[in-house]
Amino acid sequence: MSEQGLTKALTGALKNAFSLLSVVMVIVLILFLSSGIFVIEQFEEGLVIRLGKIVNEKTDPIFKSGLHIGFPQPIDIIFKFPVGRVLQLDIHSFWYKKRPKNISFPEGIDPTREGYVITGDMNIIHSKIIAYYRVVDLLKFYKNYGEIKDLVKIAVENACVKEVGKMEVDKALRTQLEVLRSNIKRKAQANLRDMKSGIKIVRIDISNIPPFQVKKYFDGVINAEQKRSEKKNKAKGYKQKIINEALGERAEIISDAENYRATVIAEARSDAEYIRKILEKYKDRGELEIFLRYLRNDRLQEILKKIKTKFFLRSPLSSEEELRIIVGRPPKIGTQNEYSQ
Amino acid sequence: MKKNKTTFILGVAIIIFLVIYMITFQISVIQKGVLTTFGKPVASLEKPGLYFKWPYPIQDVVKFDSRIQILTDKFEEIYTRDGKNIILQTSIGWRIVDPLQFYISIGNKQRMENNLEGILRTYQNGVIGEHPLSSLISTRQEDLKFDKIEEIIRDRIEKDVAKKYGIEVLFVKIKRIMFPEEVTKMVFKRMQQERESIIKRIESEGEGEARKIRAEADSFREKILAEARAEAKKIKAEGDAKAAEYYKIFEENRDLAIFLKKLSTLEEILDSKSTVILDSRTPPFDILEKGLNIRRGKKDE
Repeated sequence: MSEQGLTKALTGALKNAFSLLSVVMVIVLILFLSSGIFVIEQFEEGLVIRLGKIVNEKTDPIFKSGLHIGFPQPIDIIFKFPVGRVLQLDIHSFWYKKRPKNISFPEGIDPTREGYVITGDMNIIHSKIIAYYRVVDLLKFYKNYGEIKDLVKIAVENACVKEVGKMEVDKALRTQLEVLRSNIKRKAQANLRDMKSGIKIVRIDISNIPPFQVKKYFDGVINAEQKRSEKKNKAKGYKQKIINEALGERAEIISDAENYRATVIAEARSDAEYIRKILEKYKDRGELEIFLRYLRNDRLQEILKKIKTKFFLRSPLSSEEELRIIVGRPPKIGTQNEYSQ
Repeated sequence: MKKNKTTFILGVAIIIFLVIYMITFQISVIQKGVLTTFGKPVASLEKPGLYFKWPYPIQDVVKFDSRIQILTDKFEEIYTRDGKNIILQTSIGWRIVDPLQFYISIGNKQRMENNLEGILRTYQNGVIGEHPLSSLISTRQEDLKFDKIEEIIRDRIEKDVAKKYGIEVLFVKIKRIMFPEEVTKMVFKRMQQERESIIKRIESEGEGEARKIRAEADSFREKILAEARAEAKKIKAEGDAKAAEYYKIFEENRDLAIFLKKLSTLEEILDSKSTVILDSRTPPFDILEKGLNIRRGKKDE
């Protein structure tokens, strides 16, 4: 190939290279310019840092959800964070390590392997915490931290150590768990405020258990309390029963007495009235005696009619005669020879 | 020609951009910096914004993150004033406030944190050693000085490091307090004994309370019944007294009253199951007797 041809070819190649370079440069330029366009999601807020300074820092620096246009990097740096979302942190720093079931538990706890927290009365418990939090002051959060890392964990752990360290073990385990939860939340929030975090604790959940080494003794206390409660309830049941029976008996005694009173008065009134009428009718003594004899016979008749077993004795008996009466006769009556005289 | 013009403009723009890039730099709101001229620090850059400099290697800028850094120490075994052996883990929050001093004295974050570990250990041991364990863990509110202890540790560290390294210490937070393993064995033993004692107390309390309730119930019953019997006596007495008023008429014919009462008594006490043995002379059965006598009279004749 001639020199002219070579030159022509080279020129052509260079032209192509430049054209390609121009295209690349245009693409890079477009990408560069479009890097200034950014989107803030529904649950996010954003800050724009322009040439090192926060845009509208003194007035309204927060960019809400939507499409925004700014300058391309490195003129504008965009910082976004999901402030609308409640974030969750599980803290196992004070929890035990799971062991295979066939290994017997050690007597003590190695602090480098397992966690626990000490109660105010120098007892040991395991504690598991779940912290729910969100960033509420994006500006403060960005200027002081920019990322969560151990921030919330430290605040909550410190709060847990302090608040459990004020409480007796039974209160921390059972009787004042709600108070403890509330105190830890309050203290953790105070910590985050001191740490200038811009973070708010939404909720704390806590679960406390005694260590395995002493769990059965704590269970023993619960069982004893349950038994005490049962004994007390049983005694209360007995008390209620006795009171009800006593009130019933009382009512019965009073009722019997009132019945007696009514009966006695009625009988007395009736008897008195009867006698008064007799005395009024039979003023003559002779008439009265006849009436009484008649009355006696009449009444005896009625009485003897009712009685099934009656014996009549011819009296007086002679000196050779003897009377024998069998009271409470056996059911099977014997022969006449046995019983006749 | 037009194409060459475009390429030329683009090229110039790139060159301008490169020049601007080489002679300007930013210090962000979350940064602080030190400007160096031929490696020698000449200016402290504390405010955010755009700055100008000579291109490298004439001038360079060293930037530091000015946000709060958190350092968490390892477990430290410490003795309290009352001789109690505890294990602590503490976190410390610090940040650069004087970048020039920081650059000159220490230079980078890693070295600073290495230093801070030792400083924290020293002051923590000192402050904890001045207080009893009850100032950290106690059910008595008046004994507790937890926050104060953290504040004292922070103050002492701050006084030591602030001017020396150009940093400020914002917080010290104790995040773990534990006992050495040997001590936990003794704690468990004590916990076991305490629980056993509590169980005994609860059992005896339960028995006592139940007995008390049952005794109260029995006592109440006795009281109620005694009152009822007294009331019943009174009611019966009223009845008898009222009846006695009616019995005054009996005085007019006492024999009649007694006779009627006897008849009434017989009616009440004799029933079908009663067995009665009567003298044949009892009327009206005396008729039978008289009847016999009549037959005898005829026979005699």
